Amino acid sequence: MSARLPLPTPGRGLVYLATIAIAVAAAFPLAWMILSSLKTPAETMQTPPVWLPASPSLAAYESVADLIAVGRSFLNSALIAGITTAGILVTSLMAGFAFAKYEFRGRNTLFAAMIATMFLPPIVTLIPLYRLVGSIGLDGNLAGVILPNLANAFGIFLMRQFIAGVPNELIEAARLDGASEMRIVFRIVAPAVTPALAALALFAFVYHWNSYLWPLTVLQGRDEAYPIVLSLSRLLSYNRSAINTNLVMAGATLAVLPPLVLFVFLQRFFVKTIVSSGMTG
Amino acid sequence: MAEATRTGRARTGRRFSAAAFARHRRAFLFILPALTLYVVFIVYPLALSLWGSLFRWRGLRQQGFIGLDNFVRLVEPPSRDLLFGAFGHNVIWFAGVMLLQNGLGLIFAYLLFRRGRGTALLQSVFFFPAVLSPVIVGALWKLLLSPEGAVEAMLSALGLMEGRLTILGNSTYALYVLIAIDAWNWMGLPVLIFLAGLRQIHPSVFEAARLDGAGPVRTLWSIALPLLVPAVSSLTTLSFINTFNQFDLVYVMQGVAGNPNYATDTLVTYFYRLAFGAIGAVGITDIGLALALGSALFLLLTLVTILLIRFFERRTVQPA
Repeated sequence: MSARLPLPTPGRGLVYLATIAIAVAAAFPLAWMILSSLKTPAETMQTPPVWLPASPSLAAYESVADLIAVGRSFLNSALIAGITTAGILVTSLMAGFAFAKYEFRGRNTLFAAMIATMFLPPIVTLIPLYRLVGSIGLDGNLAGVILPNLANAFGIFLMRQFIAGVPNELIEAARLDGASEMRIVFRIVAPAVTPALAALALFAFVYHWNSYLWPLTVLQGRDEAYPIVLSLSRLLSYNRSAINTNLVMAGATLAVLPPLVLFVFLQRFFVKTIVSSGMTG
Repeated sequence: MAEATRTGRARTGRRFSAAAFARHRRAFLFILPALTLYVVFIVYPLALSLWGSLFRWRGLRQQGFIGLDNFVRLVEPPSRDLLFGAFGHNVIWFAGVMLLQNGLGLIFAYLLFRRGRGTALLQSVFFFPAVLSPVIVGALWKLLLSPEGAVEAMLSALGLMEGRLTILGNSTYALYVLIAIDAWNWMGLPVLIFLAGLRQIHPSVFEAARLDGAGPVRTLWSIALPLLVPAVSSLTTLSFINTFNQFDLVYVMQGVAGNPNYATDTLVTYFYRLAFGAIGAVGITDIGLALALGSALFLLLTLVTILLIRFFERRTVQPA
């Protein structure tokens, strides 16, 4: 407790080593996934395991396409995550704008009611929601996976918080110029809250690209509509001895790429939004 | 009371002006898309769930009203042991995540905060696993932890164990392994949130602590942590909700029955078996029990979330 100066050099070195070690531990499973996808089938079967493939090959990426319809699954995932994200952005932006910038009766009550379900466990409504989707003829259909998720309480909440910070003068000036309210939302307000929109897009896309239980419930057995995550899980359920792990890891690596790329590009907005959302202090 | 009525009437009066009417119509149109989806796909199914839990079910057919019978059946044998077993696992899971994910996350964030250089890169590395699908996380760790797998080889090479690694089949340890994997998966979130929180604390606070002779540990515990209550609050609430929704990881790694012998069963895997039957095993669906369990889970989550937020609100320190 007597250290009046910054950490002494050995302490700093130790902290340095500790953080590096922890980062390596955090990244190791991912590195192993990618390395395994580049191995030959024989290498994946060896004990003790081979760490580095002797001659890295992309053969597993070709073979995995013979077992599951990789292209089709990717398209399904892209449709589910892409349309859902676009829908959430539009509905959240519009409702968030109304809640932040319009004075109307019942505004706070309505907002509170919508936010109250923000943390509703999806499982609670799974059965009636599945039956509802079935009753409008959308079970086994991608539209059935997408439609119920096009609005999101968290998105509305986030947009209201950030749009409230957009100066009223900016909106009034646009009105005086004769801009319609719709135009104001999408041409004036949206650019002013870009970081929050980008963060919401990242969050929504990654969540819906990776989602499992809901698509599994709606699409039960309709392989051709399966997103990549469901196709992968089906690959995993095959007789283990018949499938080489390099194939599974190749499929997993492919499935990770889109959310990972999006994360790399949008993470700075994500951090910025978390900081200004009041979650941290 | 009279005062409130009068202001209320004044507001009602204003509603009839043309401008106010246009304003309301505009607001309504902007909220309509979200509101329609919200009512149809959230409120209506939720109401059906809560309402349906009070009825007898035969297969997928709703029959007579039976009051709280489903809830009673839920806490009586044969359901009782499974229910309380799963609930216990969720509680242990929450405690484990608080300790491993949020506790270690705080320490890592503090290390990164003090170190300064390369923080952005390391923060990204910590966050990477969070963009993985639970299916991939489960498949990856199942392979790593399998007998003759990579973790076994590493432990053997370090002389920490001999023979085959069968920890996922061990009913004492399997749950803790899953909790550790979950913590690894989401470690980036507390690191990100705590780091952001630490940066919002004014440097003079740390300077004053240093001049008072406080070491790094004391500074973190007595100076920084009380100022990080909003971050702790967000993370505790999120972890609680996520823990009690835990399904994917268990389903992918240990199957829908939470193998071995229900040792990793959670409330949601139990719910799934009741609602959809156990895949690859003998299982009969029981929609009445499933809806009762879902409703109980909803009430529990809502109640505890409100209590958690209240609890932390009272403990928030406003920096002077």
